[in-house]
Amino acid sequence: MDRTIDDQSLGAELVAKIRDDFPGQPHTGRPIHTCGIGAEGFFQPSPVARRYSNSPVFNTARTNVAIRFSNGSGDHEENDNAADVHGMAVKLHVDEGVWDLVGMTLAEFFVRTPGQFIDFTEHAIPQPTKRVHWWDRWWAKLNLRLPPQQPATPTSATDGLMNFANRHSYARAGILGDAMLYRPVSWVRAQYHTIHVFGITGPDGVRRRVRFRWDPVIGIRPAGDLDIGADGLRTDLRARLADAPASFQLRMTVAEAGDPIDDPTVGWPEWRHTVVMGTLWVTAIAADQERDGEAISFNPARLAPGIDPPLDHIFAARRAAYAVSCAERGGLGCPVKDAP
Amino acid sequence: MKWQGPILGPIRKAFQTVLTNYWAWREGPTTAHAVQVGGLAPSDSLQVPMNLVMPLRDTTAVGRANAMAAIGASIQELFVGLDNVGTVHFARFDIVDGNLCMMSIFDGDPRGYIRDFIALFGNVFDALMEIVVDPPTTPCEEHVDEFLDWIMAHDAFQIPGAITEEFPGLKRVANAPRDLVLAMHEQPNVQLGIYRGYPGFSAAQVRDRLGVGW
Repeated sequence: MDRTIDDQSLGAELVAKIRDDFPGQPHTGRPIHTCGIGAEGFFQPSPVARRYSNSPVFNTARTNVAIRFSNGSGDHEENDNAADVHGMAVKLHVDEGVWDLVGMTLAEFFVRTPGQFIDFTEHAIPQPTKRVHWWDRWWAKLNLRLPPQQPATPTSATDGLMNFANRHSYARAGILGDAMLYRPVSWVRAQYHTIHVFGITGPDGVRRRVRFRWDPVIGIRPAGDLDIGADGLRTDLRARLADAPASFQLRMTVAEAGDPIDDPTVGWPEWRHTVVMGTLWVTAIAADQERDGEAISFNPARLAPGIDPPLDHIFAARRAAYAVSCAERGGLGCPVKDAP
Repeated sequence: MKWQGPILGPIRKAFQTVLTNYWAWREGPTTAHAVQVGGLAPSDSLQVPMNLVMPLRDTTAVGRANAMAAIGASIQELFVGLDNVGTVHFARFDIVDGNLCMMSIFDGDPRGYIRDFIALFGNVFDALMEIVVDPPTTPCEEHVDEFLDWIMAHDAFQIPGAITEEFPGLKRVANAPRDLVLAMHEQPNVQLGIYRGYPGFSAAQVRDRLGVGW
């Protein structure tokens, strides 16, 4: 049976389980999205955004933001070349409060509940890899499957995750999405999804359930076979921002009848109404990386006025897990109510 | 080693064909799901694509010129008819590799859309049926159900955006590539993806907002 989301120990257990997936790593940093870089900028709502939302975020001409770009791995050694989920967390500071809009390159999450997540993390513990023989590749070809690649590392979680996906259909979109995810040439040339469904209310009193995503204005660009170097994303961002700001459009998809609003494993049809809600300008690398890249704390449950919380169980669990993780590493602004 | 070139390339193709036919025989018909339209939500029935691919009986230059002449002679009839259908965002007529194609985006139910064709320019389709392979019985006004079935059979298979939507009953994730191959084996013509610049709006709403009437 699934744990209740108000279980005080749940956050700690989730963080511990995630850390188990990265054996040998110190417990001093973030358990995942460990390596990253802080940046700063501002957000400007689009002219139509205020028709959909009363939130001050969409009714303030310009909102200062703190941003953290990251690689999804819990490895403390930066490897920008690795196939990985990437993250962009944006902290929007309005006079009335702070909104942490935490995005990642994966559009759908792996599981629906904390209990499923714990099961998932147990399957994600890396296991020793086996050498792929020529007959393994031929067997795959004869079965019209993708030929296995020679493992790049001594351990891997791939087999465990595929077994999990075989047993749980809800996990397939996330796990297959992760397996097929592109490796971007730049953090500002990737698309980021917020996976949860938020609530907003317009000036006409109409309440809507919506999903947000950040679209890079200069487009998505996968690295393909290009070797960008272990710190290629960091180097790229510094070089780009020294030259000119980077920008993203915030796009909002609106739910319609029958769309699941409490399940982060399921996407919505691409033909739903999509509204351009504003533009994010990334203007500079944060000067104090210790504070604004490492200590800075994001929590998806930190919401601005006028943004209603998502209804899914993963959102509630993330609230607890992010708080525990923040406290463990001595991050800034850990309690959700204390916006830094 | 890549199996390419004048000798290895054909061997690779023959090997793939044998393998595909074997798996198609062994697995039987696929369970691939096309894009699901006509759901509960209003936008489920908006901007629906129909991609008719109709093999020409005569694919020579003469045959293609005849097809061009048939469309050209009826173009005003077609356009006025599409105007009068009122739910069409756009429609395009092409000849691609020996096939007469009508690609269109419309609002509503596909069968209702075809019934509108029959009512408004059925005689044009009757003429077009004379130049395509294995046509249905004409006039289409008198054989509505047969014509509907024929059109639906010539509408290219529309692949959903996510593989999990295409194969909701997938037993083993590792077999997904094979299921894709077998789906392609069954469906020679497919729509791989479609972009909508203003998703969720009907042709009527767009025309109304633009002030050009509907």
